[in-house]
Amino acid sequence: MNDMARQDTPALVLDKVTKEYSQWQRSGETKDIIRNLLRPEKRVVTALDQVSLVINSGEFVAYAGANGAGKSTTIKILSGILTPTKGGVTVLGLNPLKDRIPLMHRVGVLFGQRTELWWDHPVITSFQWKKDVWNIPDQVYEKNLQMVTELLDLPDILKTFARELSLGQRMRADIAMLLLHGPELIFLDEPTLGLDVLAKQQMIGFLKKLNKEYGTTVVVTSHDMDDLEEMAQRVVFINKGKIAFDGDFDSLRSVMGGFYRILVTTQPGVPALSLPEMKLLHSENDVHEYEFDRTKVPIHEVLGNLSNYSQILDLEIKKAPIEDVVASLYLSWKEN
Amino acid sequence: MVDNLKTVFRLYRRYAVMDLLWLLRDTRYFFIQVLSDGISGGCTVAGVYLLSLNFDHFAGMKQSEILFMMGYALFVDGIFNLFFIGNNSGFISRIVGRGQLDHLIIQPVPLWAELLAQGFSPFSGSPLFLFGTGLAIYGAIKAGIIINAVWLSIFLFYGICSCLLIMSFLYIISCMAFYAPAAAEEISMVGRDLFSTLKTYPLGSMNPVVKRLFLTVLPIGLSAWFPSLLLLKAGTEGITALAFLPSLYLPGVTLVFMLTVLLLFKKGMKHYERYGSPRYTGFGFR
Repeated sequence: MNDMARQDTPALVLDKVTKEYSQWQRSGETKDIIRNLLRPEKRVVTALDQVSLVINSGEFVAYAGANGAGKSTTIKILSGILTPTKGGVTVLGLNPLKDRIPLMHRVGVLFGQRTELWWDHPVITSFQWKKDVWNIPDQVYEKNLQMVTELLDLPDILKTFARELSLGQRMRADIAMLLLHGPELIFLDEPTLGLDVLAKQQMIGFLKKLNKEYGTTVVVTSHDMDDLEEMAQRVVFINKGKIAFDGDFDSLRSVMGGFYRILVTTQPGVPALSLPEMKLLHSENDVHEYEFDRTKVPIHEVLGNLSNYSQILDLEIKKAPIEDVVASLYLSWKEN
Repeated sequence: MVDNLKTVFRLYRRYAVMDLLWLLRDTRYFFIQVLSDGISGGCTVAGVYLLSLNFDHFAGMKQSEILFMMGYALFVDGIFNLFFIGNNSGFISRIVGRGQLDHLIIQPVPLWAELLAQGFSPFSGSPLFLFGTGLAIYGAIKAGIIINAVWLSIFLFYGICSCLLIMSFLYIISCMAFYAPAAAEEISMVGRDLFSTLKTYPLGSMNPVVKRLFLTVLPIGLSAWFPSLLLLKAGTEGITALAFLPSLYLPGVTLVFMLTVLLLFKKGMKHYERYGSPRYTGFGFR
């Protein structure tokens, strides 16, 4: 019965959450020193503005936005570190502030730029520390330790001091420690930040597997849209404290038009072709890259136009990189 | 409450193991640490002893009594090191000012339990405790104290009270780090230095206003001088020689300071929950 109730409860609910901070303003002028001391000027920064969001159990959600958009603030509110100025928050049906202790038994939080590992101890000591602090039963601990050791390829680093790990190894160890108590929901703040290509791929592969095979709900923030697209099924975009987009990545692309890229390889020495409704992005070594909006020019029409040119040796059509879509999105928000 | 106590003991056990593992992480480091602790402890004891030789009948105390008081002060420092030296537990302004409370908040244990336990260093933090205990017992014998179980219990009780009083004082001033994290990050170190440099100074012949100050709001006199006088009296004239109210003064003030900590720290935590770690607060951006 409890399990049924748990399944019906959304993983998290933000109900019209507003978070405001006050920021002290200084003119930097010596003539304002007295005024700054006696009547300091403050500016209210709205990090989150009436944000409402529901994430269901088992979802893998990318929480994205530019610097200062309110991503980390949201994660901190969901983890009970910060309290919202207005609005309601429930995580796994619990209030993160009032029910912090039972909630922390069921969720995992990882801030990518910080580590929860004990710096002057081997990784396994941090794991044993976690076992005691979280009071993880022996059987659960052994099972999860075996699982993360295998999936994250930890045998080589378990006995290494945390201070001697590379960034990629440290992130793997941190994620492993995060999962030792078998959390139902995990919050990952920039988990791929600074990782090399291989480490990133391993991390992404592991998180996808965790979500798919173990049903763990994952909420992940990152600046790297390519990473997020590879990982998550749903993307929630936050801009100036408001949710600007909530949907899948294909829908995100169509928000900015259905932009596609086409790479045209021509015979040597042939200049870039002039094609209707297609924007030439760049030409190099007889390879010309164009962009077109699928909603304005259908693909068959593009191919029809190209078939008139016998100098074409090869074609490659692909979706516009998500990073570019997001950059245009940021730009349009900024202009508005 | 029983569950919370179980948690605290579980954490104490874990931190004790981690402290031992850390101390024995490398043979070379271990011997260097033992040697440096030995030299440092020996110098402290020798310094205290030599100081006491020069202060016979200073501020109404005999040389042996000063020696005992200094031994008591070291004993209190030893308790501090034993329980609060690890992981900046005794220097809470660093944890608050650096935004490290976030790490504690995401642990499923009461904040007080984690703060109480995470500094426990029974192996690496024990040298000063051993030196302090040894010197205090030596001073007690020299001062003619009859050491028995009751006197030892009072000695231990007052020692714990003095340590908790110092900790409470450090916590009170450290609460400033909630509001000015960068500026107040090191304030607990400053507070600790205040006690380290002044607490072995006998207050007997001091100006009454200063004496009152040092026995109330700035309780330096309660961290060594005042309890030493009581212990000397109890040890030489018998427990019954202790007047009721003075004997309860140290525990009473400790309790008041601890309650003040509770109040101020809770208020500080409310501020932390509202504004978070330094990022968005004035003077706090790092």
